[in-house]
Amino acid sequence: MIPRKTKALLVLWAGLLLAASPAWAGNKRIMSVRAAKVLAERALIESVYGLKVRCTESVEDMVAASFVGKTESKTAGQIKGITYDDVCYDPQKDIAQVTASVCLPSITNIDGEVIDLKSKTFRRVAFATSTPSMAGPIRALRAAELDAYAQLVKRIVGFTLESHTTVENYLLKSDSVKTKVLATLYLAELTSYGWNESGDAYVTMTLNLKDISDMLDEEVMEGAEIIEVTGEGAQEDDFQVAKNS
Amino acid sequence: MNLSRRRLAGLVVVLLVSGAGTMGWCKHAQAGNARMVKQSVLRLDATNKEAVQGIPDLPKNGTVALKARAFYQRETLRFDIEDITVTSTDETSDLFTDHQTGKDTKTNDSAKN
Repeated sequence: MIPRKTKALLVLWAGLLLAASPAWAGNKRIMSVRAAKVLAERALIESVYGLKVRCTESVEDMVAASFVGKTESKTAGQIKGITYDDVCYDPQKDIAQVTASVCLPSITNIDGEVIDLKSKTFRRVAFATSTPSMAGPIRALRAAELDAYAQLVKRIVGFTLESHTTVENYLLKSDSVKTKVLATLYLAELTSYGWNESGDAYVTMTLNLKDISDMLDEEVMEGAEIIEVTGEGAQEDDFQVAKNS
Repeated sequence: MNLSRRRLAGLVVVLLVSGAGTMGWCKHAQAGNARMVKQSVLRLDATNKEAVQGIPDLPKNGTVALKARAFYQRETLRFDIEDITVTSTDETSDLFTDHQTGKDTKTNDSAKN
């Protein structure tokens, strides 16, 4: 049915496609895996050395459209002895997953304090891609991490609350509410993470205050042993869409 | 009989397609940051009301401007009020004149938690 020439061309085209794809995938794989390693290193530095977290939230007249929430993080530390326990790559989605770990006897943390880490192994996971269209879930996961960091800081250090409230017949109406916090955080551990059906990411982070008190040789927070928070992050900005409509 | 079976089958297909469509729409509606923003707004409101409700001698009508340091103590949120201005706009009765709108302003230490 198909002419011989067409058949030959088809075979040639299929051959070229097969020959070219591994080379293309290989380059992407290396880039994605390398990026995931860097992100895993950053996560470990944030966990062990620590990070600065600045979080501000404000709302006017309880109208969600006026809500502004911003969380920023910053860290710059040196750490050696990081090993990569687990490196996975999904060629279909071009997503690399790396689990990095480090085991140190002690460290001088972000606050300049020398902490006896008692050779505890810290482990963090990170994902990366070199395909921008596949970055949504990874961005959502990072947003969830930042949300968890901010929640931990608020639980440990507290926050500043500034507000204007109207009282009408003994009923309170929040006119404007603003919270802010800037603090350093260290030794936070990521215990679980994932994405729900709609694609929003979640991470569970814990601070073992008993262990930290032992390491620092001082009580960190009265009356608590473990603080656990769940951070959330979204892939889609439907808030901005609703705000603009 | 054949026709009713066909109709039944058609109805099932329509129901399945519309059900899947609705589920897909719901799934899409749940995704995104709008839900998180709404939760944050409710949390901010609840935190503020908790702080303001702790202020003694709140007026029936008025305004409260406050700055406080919020912190957790044994799983409970506490407020250390740094600055506060309570303004009362209650109508006060005067024996010699008609009802007037009185203004009474309390600041700082008098209204701290």
